[in-house]
Amino acid sequence: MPVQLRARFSPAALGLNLLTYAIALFVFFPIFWTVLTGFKSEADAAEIPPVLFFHATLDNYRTVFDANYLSFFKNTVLLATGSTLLALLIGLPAAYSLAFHPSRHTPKVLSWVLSTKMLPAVGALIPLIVIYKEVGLFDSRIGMILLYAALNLPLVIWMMRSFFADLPREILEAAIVDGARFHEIMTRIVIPLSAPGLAATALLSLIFSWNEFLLAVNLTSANSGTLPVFISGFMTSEGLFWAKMSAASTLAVAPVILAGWLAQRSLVRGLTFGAVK
Amino acid sequence: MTTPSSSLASPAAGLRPERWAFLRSPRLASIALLAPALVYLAVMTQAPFLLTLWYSFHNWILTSPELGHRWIGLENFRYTVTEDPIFRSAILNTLEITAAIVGGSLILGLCFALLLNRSFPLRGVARALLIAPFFVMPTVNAVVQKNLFLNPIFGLVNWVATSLGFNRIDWLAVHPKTAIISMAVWQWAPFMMLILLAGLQGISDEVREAARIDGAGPFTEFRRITVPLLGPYFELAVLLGMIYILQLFGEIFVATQGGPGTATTTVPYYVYQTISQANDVGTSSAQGVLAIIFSSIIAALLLRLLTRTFRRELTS
Amino acid sequence: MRLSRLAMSLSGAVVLSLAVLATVSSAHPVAKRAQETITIATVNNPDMVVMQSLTPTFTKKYGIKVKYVTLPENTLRQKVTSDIATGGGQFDIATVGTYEVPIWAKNKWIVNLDPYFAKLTPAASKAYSLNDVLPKVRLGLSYNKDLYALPFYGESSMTYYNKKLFKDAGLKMPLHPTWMQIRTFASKLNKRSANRYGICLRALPGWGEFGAPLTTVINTFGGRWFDMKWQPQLTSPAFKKAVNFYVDLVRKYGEPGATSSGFTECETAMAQGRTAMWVDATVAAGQLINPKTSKVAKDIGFAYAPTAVTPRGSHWLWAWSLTMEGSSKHKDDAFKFLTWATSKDYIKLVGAKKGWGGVPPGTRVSTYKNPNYKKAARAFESIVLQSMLTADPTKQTLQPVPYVGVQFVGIPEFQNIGTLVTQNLAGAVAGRTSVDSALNISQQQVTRIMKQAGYIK
Repeated sequence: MPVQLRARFSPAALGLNLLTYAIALFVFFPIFWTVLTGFKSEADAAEIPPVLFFHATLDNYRTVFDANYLSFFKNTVLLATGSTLLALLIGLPAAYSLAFHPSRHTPKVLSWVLSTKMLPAVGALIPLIVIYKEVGLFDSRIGMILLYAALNLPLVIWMMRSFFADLPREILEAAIVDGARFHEIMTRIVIPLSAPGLAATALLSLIFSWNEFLLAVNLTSANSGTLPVFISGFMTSEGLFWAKMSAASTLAVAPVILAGWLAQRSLVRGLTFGAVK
Repeated sequence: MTTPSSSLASPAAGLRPERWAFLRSPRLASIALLAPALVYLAVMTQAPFLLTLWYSFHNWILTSPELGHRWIGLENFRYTVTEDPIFRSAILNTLEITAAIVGGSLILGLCFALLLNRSFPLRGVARALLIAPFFVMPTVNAVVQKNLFLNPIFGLVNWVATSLGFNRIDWLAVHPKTAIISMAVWQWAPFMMLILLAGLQGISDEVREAARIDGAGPFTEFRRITVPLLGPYFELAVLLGMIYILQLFGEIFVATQGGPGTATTTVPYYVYQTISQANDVGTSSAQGVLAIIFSSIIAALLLRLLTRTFRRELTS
Repeated sequence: MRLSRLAMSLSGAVVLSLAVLATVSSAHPVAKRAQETITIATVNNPDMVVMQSLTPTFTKKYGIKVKYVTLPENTLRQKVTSDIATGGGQFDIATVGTYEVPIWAKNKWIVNLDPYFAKLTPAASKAYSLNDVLPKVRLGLSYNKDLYALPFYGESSMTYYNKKLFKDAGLKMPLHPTWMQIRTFASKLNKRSANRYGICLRALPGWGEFGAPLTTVINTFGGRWFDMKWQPQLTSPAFKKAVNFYVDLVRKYGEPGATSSGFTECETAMAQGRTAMWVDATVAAGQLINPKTSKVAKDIGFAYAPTAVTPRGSHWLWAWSLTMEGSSKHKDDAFKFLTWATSKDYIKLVGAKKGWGGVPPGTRVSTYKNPNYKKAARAFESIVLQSMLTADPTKQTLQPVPYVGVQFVGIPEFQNIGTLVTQNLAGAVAGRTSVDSALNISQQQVTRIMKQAGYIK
């Protein structure tokens, strides 16, 4: 936790607070504008000067739900959480190994892990389609979970290795001398102590899976389509769609923002309770 | 990369039966922990890579199946590297745009992280607002910014500008790179912020108190303590961010389509054009393979640069 | 010792993971539905949205369920192309345009519909009435005289103008304007300081975006993309004159942000009263006179697409159509859907449920004879019908050409060529380069592509 400065209303502190609020609002503004546009009619959405007071309508949201939003939402939730859990399951032990049992091969291993992300997905579209059709994973949720887990694994390994390596060695050494087993060390010491890092990693992995577009478009079809595919479906070359797309985007972003916000606080709190002091 | 310091004793040391003595060996334990991840990655990523490599030696145009799959060896590579002017400018564009985005988002992310590292009322709300841009899909971000903000006729930016007496600017035509960079920085600053904030929160209070007692002001504390201790996190943020940002696609796809001309055609976007417009599997695969080589070189150079910068700070 | 143990554990891990993968993949069954289901790949144009909302009627009538995959046009084209080229299996039906149909038919990717029509009972055949479908559209969807797709809605291009702005400036738009007249009007109606512009024309890079109106301008100025020997004509005098005219018009009196302006952006500008004129697809008409989507619904006027040296190729021909993929496992069901969505009954259904102003236009002669439609669309329906009857994809240029297509060149390479050239020209529209240098570079690139594809030596 950051140092708790004595709660004095120093002008510097106040100024910084206001600056922070201002910056936060400015940064958030495009999202706010999108949410607002989702409630306008298509004609109002393009009005200049922009309208702040308008006849709000739920038509766009109705259209979004009619377009089968819930099915895409369900798919995306399954894909994002499934792939994140899988990546963490496989990646945390690997990060542990690289952080606490490094060898002269560690730099090479880390480089190779990172290099798996250097092939642009665009360059491997046809190969992926061919392979996935061959093994029967095309347009399946399992297939996408497996793929996204592989895409997020380097992130998990690199980030958690960094956070693990920063942990104080003495506590771990003491635990091992006391006869603690691996899974006890992980659950009682390592994870609680690296909670902020773990929360950040899980959140990032979730977001990357949630927002991934190119592979989702090409490897899914009628069954396992995700929200990015759904939202892109509103883009049309022969009609007005800004308001509808804003509504769809709001529905796609809101759950993540809520989940991410809740998760950060409770994840950190929940994990620290189990820590061995 | 951390220097291989002393390993921890094997966590399996507590197992007793002699039969399992070999399991106590730290090396085996460490490999057993690492193996699933490496095997999984290998299976999932190398298969597509090998097939891509295979296709790069062939000529296969999707919409002309009568031409079939023809082996042409290194011809795709030769053309892309030596003759194709667009690929060359794509490399330069990629370097320029990636560097600008990584740099910009890193600086902004650091500022946000520093601001959020204090405790003040409504801190959680401010943090939620600052993280939010990263949750938005890149394609959606691009559509919103392109139409609602940057559009010269309907956009907010021009409306504000003309109300203040400035000229109307067609951002996407006159400053396409700047537009793309600003969209992406807005999106990636939270990413940098998350990593740096986790690092900042790991700086123990004793160290900061000690510095304060020693009479260090906020700037000195920042320079002598925060930056060096954040070193590994900078490394992580820049390296990871670069890997993702090198492959930036959604913004260019929606906002500028690589244009005007080829001003914002980056390597990923050019590969996409080759496969989706020219329907040319062979050339796009070759371009993909070349992109790997290109990214590896950049990553290696970056690592060297970072290690040198931060090692010096850490040991001084 | 250590090494063999190591090898054992590693191989154990590999075997385990592969086993998991194999089980998992085989455990994913293709859902066996009690009802037959067909999958349709479609774009999200307004008429398709209506089709999706009316699908329950189809399901009730035939007992066939329908799943839709909705994507933007270019992404859809890429996805369907990749799918078919890697063995197909994703879709039974795809929405395609008059560009793809002959090419895909030649590649044997889509199904010849003539045998299916031959199997229809005389009653069903009469009810569907294939001859009612506009002849030029049927031509555009055929290959070697066989029909491969059915049109869902058709369009040509025409001129939209703001009657109020014209009246205030004391100008009158003739029914058959020329491009020179358009330019004069634009110069008089252009008021940048008021955020209002003389004309909106597409300059968004893309063979189907910027390329479409540009090609009609090239045609009507007497130019052509290729000569009879397939030599690219990008630097010929007529081509250059046409392109210079277009780019100049947009730069001087056109909308800012032109290189980001496709159909949607220009339609928005027109509907908001920000531009006095707009030359584009006829489908916009219904949306422009609808107060829900247009702020100038009462002031919209219509005219034919402008001409210059020749009326040939001055207005385009396009039909979004439904076609059956060759790899489909439900061909008979798919054919039922194809005929349902393009039938007279469907048009009547849309008219009843959504109003006659919004029925799919440009497909059947009977639509234009229907009194309800004539009343709802009276301001523009005759212009649209006439345009579609006179847009001939085989007689689109002043001089003979070896290709079909009014606003595109019907070869598979044109997707690449058109986009490449319009990208270069967008640079000229943005002022980064001159038209001539953009055309020179384009000529080189196109020549190379044509050589590689084997059209020229």
